Amino acid sequence: METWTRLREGEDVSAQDQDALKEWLSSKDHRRTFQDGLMLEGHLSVLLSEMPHMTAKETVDEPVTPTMPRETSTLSPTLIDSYHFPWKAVGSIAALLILTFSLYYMGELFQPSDKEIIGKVFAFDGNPKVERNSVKWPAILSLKSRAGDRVVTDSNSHLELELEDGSLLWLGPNSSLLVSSDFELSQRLRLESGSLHLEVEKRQQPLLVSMDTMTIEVLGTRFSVKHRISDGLEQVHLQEGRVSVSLQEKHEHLLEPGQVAQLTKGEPFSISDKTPFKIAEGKVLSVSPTHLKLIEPEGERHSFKLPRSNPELTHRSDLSFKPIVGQNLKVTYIDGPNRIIHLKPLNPKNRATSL
Amino acid sequence: MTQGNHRDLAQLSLEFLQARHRLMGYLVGLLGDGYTAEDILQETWLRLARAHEKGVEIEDVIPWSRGTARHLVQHHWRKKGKKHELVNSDLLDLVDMSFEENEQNEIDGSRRDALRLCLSQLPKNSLSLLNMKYEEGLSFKAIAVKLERSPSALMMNLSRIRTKLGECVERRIRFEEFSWT
Repeated sequence: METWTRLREGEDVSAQDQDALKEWLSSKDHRRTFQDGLMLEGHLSVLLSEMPHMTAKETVDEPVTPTMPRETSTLSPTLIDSYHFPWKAVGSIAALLILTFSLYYMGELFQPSDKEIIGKVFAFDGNPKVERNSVKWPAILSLKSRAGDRVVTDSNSHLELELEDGSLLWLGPNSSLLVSSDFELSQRLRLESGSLHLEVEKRQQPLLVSMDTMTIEVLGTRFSVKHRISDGLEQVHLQEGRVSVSLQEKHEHLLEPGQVAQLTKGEPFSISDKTPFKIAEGKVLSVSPTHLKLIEPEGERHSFKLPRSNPELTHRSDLSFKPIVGQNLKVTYIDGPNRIIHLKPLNPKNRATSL
Repeated sequence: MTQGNHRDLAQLSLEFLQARHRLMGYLVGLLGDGYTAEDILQETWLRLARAHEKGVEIEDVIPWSRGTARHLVQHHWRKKGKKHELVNSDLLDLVDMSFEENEQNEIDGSRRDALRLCLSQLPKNSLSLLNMKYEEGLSFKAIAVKLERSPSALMMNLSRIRTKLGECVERRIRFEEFSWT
């Protein structure tokens, strides 16, 4: 890419370097990678032109604090000079109030604390709150989350937290998460209710995620956790790596990728493979979730639209789509995000497959 | 008569607009400069409209536009006076091939949203560098003078930012794949 960048800038590039680039581009895979890079640049260009213009005031080496919402306001000299106009006086008072509130807010949230920093708010939708010292504050970008904080989302919000070690935590809607202090050299997250998805960097000390009964010990993996108060559901779905699940911190169970550990009131603890849909090789049948809208083989353009009322999906010859074991399928939900799912053999006898 | 002649300018324009991101990817890839790329993209559309007016059959808007855009880029390089290594290079054919082979490789809406979010979370100085390069269309030499840095250090810096953005997008997409149901 560097040779290409220099070439397109009109710099002199040695024939040897140009030949090396040609050689590299003679591979189809490399051409794909190359095109990916150029497409990213194209999108960057379009998106940057849509963003508010920025001037280059900072030098590239200078560390810059990520943008924060403007919580503090300043009184303009004009506003102070023209105090004798009553409406401006009202404005001044309002500005002072806002300033006072902002300072209080910032002071409360950003006051030096001996409590351990767990991570920072990376992104959010809606209006999630961070509860600290029994006061609920609206979450803001880059807000440092400390031990003892409780993060709460409503039905229209979610929040992403980047932990200090680079691990990522995604708190779903209607959720409450308590970030506990570091004891026994482990970080502890308590999912009081709702859902949580984590991508944990490999770590020496385990991260513990607990619910009422279940505790999950993690050393680096991807998994999702659900805690529903109404029926006492506690569920862990492991996507990658390994986690151990214990009940009341006893009876440790190791989960394999794809497995779901579940506990509901009145039902015994169970570990199962997550098989939400079934599919026959060469045909597409019995797609069970009613919210499934579209399914397509990765890298192909064929798509199937599924009505909510009848999620049955049958092979359509005009689309010449035959799912095969090992193929990745992209699934789009009506109410949710996209997923890429890998077809795995379910039953070798009848060659049915599961998604 | 081919399908091309049946289509009116509105239809061709719509197809052109739908392929805008792909064509911009191609043009920014060739030029490394969003500002000039945008100019050439507009000129390409004008050529498309003129060609349609003259009754030229345009069966497939994307390859036609890419071919026209390539000629315009070569013309731009020649116009700049300085001998440009790429003007007659067969590397251009390889770039064209990479776009032809991966015609469907378009960043979809969710990736674009993810990229937008990742961009908004970049530190100001990184965003500023991206702006100078891809929006203002400055060369590395010009940026280097402005920031009192060496062009090679900036090139490396930009490469790191692109890698970080790519990782951020992948991370966002993985989160998006997670279903709450």
